[in-house]
Amino acid sequence: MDKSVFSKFVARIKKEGILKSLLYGLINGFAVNFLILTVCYILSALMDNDTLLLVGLWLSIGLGLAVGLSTGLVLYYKKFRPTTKRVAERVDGLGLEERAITMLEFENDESYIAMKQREDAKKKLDEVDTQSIKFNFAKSTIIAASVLTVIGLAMTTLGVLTNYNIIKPPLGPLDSYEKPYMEVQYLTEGDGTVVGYDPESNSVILEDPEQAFDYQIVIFEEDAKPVFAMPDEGWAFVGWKLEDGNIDENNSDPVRQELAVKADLIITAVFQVPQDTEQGSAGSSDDEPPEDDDEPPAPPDENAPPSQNFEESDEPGENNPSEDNPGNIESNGNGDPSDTGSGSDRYAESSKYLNGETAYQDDYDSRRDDGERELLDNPNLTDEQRAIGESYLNNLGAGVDTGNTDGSKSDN
Amino acid sequence: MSEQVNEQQIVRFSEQIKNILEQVRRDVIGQNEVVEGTIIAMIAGGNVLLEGVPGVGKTRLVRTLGRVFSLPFSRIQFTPDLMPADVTGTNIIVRDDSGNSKFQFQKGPIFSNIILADEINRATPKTQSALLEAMQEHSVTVMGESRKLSEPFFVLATQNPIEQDGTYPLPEAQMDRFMFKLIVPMPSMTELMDIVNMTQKTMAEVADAACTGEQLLEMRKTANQILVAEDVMRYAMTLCSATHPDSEFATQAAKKYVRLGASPRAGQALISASKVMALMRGRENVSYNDINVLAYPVLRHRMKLNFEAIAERISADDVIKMMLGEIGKGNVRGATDIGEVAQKAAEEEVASQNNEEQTEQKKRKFGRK
Repeated sequence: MDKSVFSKFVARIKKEGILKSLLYGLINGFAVNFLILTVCYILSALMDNDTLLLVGLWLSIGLGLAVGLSTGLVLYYKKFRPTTKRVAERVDGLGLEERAITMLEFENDESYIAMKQREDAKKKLDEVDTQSIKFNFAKSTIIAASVLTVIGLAMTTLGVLTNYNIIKPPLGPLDSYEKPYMEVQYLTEGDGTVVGYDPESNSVILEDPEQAFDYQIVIFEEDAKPVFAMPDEGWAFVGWKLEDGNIDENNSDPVRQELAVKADLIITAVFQVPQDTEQGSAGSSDDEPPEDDDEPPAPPDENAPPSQNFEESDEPGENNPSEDNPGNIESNGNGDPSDTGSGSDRYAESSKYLNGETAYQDDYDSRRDDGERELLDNPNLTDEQRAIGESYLNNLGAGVDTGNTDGSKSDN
Repeated sequence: MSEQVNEQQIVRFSEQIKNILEQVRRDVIGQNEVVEGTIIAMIAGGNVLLEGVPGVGKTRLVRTLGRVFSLPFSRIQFTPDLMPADVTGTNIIVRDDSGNSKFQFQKGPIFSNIILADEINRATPKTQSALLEAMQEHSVTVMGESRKLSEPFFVLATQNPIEQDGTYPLPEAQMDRFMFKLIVPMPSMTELMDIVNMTQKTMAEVADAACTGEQLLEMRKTANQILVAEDVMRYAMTLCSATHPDSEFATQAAKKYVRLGASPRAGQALISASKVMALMRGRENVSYNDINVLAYPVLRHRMKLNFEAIAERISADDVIKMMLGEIGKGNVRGATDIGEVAQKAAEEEVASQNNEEQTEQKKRKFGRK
């Protein structure tokens, strides 16, 4: 059969097929474009993240184009491409009463009736005007394509303008309460406390009724309040132990601030009795390590009579602690805190008890003197170190002022 | 393999159809669809059930067709006391020349080419069943002996839809053997005037023979060669399957209103009749429109409607119209949907209630006076 009888209809039906594919491509492409961009736009506005908007913009354009083109092509080749059968079906719809489709189906039939049917069909096909094939688009398709094109383009324009900060998104970032909260907890190991720290005044905040420092609630990705690890009397700050159990080697400073907190944190401020004190109490030389380095010193027995601590002490000034007087602090036996030894044994534990009460005055004084001397005499100190030193000395002073109850303050 | 048709046969077909219609219209005024439907069924080899109120010309049409086709014609008036043997014939005892008695088959009126089964629903089911074999297999079995009926053989039955007292509705098996059920409507005003004018002059039937039995068989053979595209065939079968509420092709209308769908015979009848119709319209191929037009006479008596349809006064034709509206291809004439039909039914119900109320009011008013 000569299929050229359909050729005059092919061009018009092809046009219609292309237009239909284009419409469906537009619908799908702009739908994808709109959805992706809308989601990214909202998320970027809520999360205050400009990168997300930029990614969304390119993604929506790229995916929209890809989906639109692929949908259009697939539909054209699978559904709208004018194959001979499709053309025949379409032409039959113009009042040919299935002559064309029958002719096509029986094209190889050589019976008389089939030949006569072909003649009849060709005659009718010749009578059909090509222009009588009207483009047939469903209203709903045209409306959907128009609406999605408009909103897709509008959304893209909005995204571009927002990305270049020409307009601001109507949505603001989510309120803080909508962001997740993170817990930052500071524990202590050994005797000491974690207190607040004010970097502007370079001073610690011992107590603030409005906020806690050792347990902070921090908004996701925001900074925690700075803290300061303050050891108790006779203890020294060693470092910050992280959640993995290791000491944070990057930060041995007692001042610490967690930046951009993204997870719950538990950080432990580790305090230890200074090395030299332990050595003194163990009666060993400076080079020898203490017998039990890991264990903090046992709390002093407050019930122990002072005489027991001091009566067997050696001569003042000697640095040879005995078992009974491991602190080897000079004492006059009457519990006078001013009666202390000198040098390294002044931190001896036994010297801290006078009449059952703690007397650290001499320790602090000595420390402060050292510190002040260092601050005055050491020209190599940086400003920051100097500031920390001053702050530390201030703290020591405060400790002396508040902690000493045995009247030793008068000695200062 | 079927014999190939040639141009002469097609030309003859057209001429004979033209002659047949011309002669029938000499005796039957109007009823074009019924006349055309009956002729299509006869050419396609099917039986026809004509349903209409008394006096609309059913019997006259059948008589005229018998004469126009120049075929032997029998009329059987079905009554409740009619027995199967009255239809098929029976063995009677006769004496031969030598004086011996023997059984001899006495042919009944069924041994003819065109049978007019008048008021078929008045006979008992037993007698109605006597027609089953004849209608389907064109043979009659009496006392174990089958006898072929002469071809062409048609049963053209009539029934009155109004007087239901003392009638026996045709069973489904019987219904299915009718290719078409044609509704014979009341003639229009113009047709009525023509009928009265014609019968005032003479009641005689003047139609002449236009076709012999052999020619009719040749016409059938020619029509059988008409081409049916696969899409069209599939459409016809889909339509038949769609009448079954449980079918995968079931339409909403069938699911809602049909209890029992059409049998495969409906598909055969639809295609056979469509071929004849296509050739009558000068086409060598069947179109969707042929199927759409013939769906009504082929399917309307093959569907058993459910209670919901009866309660809503939905007819089989309404259901077919809805089905065509749902799945119809081509020019679906007057196709509508369930909603419109349901609305129409509701409006009719309201109108009926209003009429009853008005009548009641009038009665009360009259009673007071």
